[in-house]
Amino acid sequence: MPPGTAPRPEPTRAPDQDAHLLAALRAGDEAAFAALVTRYHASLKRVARAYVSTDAVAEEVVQDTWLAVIAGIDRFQERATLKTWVFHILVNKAKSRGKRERRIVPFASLSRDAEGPAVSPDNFQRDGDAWPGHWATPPRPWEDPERRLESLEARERLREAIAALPDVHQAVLTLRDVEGLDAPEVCALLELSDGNQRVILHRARARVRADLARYFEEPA
Amino acid sequence: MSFDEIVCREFAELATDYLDGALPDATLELVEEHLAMCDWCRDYLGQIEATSAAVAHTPAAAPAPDTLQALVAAFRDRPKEDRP
Amino acid sequence: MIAYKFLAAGGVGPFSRYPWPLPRPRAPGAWVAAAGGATVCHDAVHACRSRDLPWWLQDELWEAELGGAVTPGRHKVMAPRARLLRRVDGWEAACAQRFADACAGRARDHAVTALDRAGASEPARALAACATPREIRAAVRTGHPPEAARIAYTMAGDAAIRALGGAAVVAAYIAAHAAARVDGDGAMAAERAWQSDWLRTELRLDA
Repeated sequence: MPPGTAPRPEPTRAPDQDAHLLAALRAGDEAAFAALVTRYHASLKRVARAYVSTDAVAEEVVQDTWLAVIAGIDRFQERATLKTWVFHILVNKAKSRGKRERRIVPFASLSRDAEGPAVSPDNFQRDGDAWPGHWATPPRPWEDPERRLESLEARERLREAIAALPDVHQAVLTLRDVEGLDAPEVCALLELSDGNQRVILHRARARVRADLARYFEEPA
Repeated sequence: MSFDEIVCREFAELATDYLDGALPDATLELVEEHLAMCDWCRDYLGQIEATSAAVAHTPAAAPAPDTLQALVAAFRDRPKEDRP
Repeated sequence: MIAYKFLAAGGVGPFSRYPWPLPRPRAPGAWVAAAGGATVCHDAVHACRSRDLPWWLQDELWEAELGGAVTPGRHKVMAPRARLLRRVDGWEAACAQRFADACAGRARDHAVTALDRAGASEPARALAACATPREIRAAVRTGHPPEAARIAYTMAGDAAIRALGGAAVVAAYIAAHAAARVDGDGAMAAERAWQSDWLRTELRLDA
């Protein structure tokens, strides 16, 4: 745990949270399968959307993925977790579909410096000021963010903030923060370097943070 | 900047690296010195953490009911392999 | 090796929020190790020499014993393990306030130097007459320094504001930068040494 972090729940590496589901699936438990689909459908779609051109195509890719999961469940070797296995199938199908669409895979064109800093330089003092590089207007403290973020309105704003991100940012944010995959897993899935993956994650978080900050500053 | 230090604008880019424990030692040292002094960056760091946690708890949009039904039907009808 | 650790109120790491085992009536606190259990500060326990104190000011100051090979860092030392020996009682809110006020006074002094050098003897005299952070803040708010002294003047005001807020570690940082602004980079180290001496003397530290 790096210094500076409050103890926070680590993404579970082992044991596989879905191990109980796997046994149920193999036994033909339909409720278990429905739960699996419901649990991961939205995240799978967000990741697919980074490779294909429309929501409708992403939806098709996800459905194809579930069919492949059904076909492969008995042969699944449990070398990876159920979750990562499903996401690997998804990425492979999304990549193929993207290639068929001749879509330039956005991951391939990423460069660390392409978009500039994650936080606008306008937030900081400039050369010639007393404290160049220091916050010009400090981030306003958030009072009781967990409680405030529970409101329907806040959740809607958060959902909108995520949806406004570029597809690639949504994919990385989904895999790291929603699904709790760790950096090496995400790099393997998306074929990104560790550095690139983290730059994207930070940009995504920084933009959503900025949106939430604006929301918190609105009169109640 | 002629002093060997990290200032707020630089830390704002490094917050996720810091949380991941991905900073090289020399940078980490400068970040720790800065955070010891800068309450504003500590607030920013806390907000990045809160954002990450909020994202984690965003409820997932459910699949369309007929999609789910069709998938469950496909699951029900799957050819079963012989198992010992 | 004996060194020092600043902890947040309640004996917890200011960033890790790790609860340090506190000393018992006639025994030191339990050893805390960096590896194999207690994940503290990447792969070492951090501590201060007395010269490092100004960078790390927090609610509580503790004397600590370090175990194993000690590695010096920039403004800290690192060791595989450490245990708390005793609380340095002299470091408490009133002492922190005196230190913050002293740093604000130093920043004021550097600004006075800058004003004098810029030929602004009246503003220099007026600022030099300010004895407290409140007075310094008031003077800086209404003063009109020449351009050559503007930033040092602003810094003095900032140090006073932070001292009024009880933010000792920030007032110390500002004073160090004010020294460098006025007298060059070498003056920063001298200012920090002044701060360490103040703390060492006030708290009767031996290291």
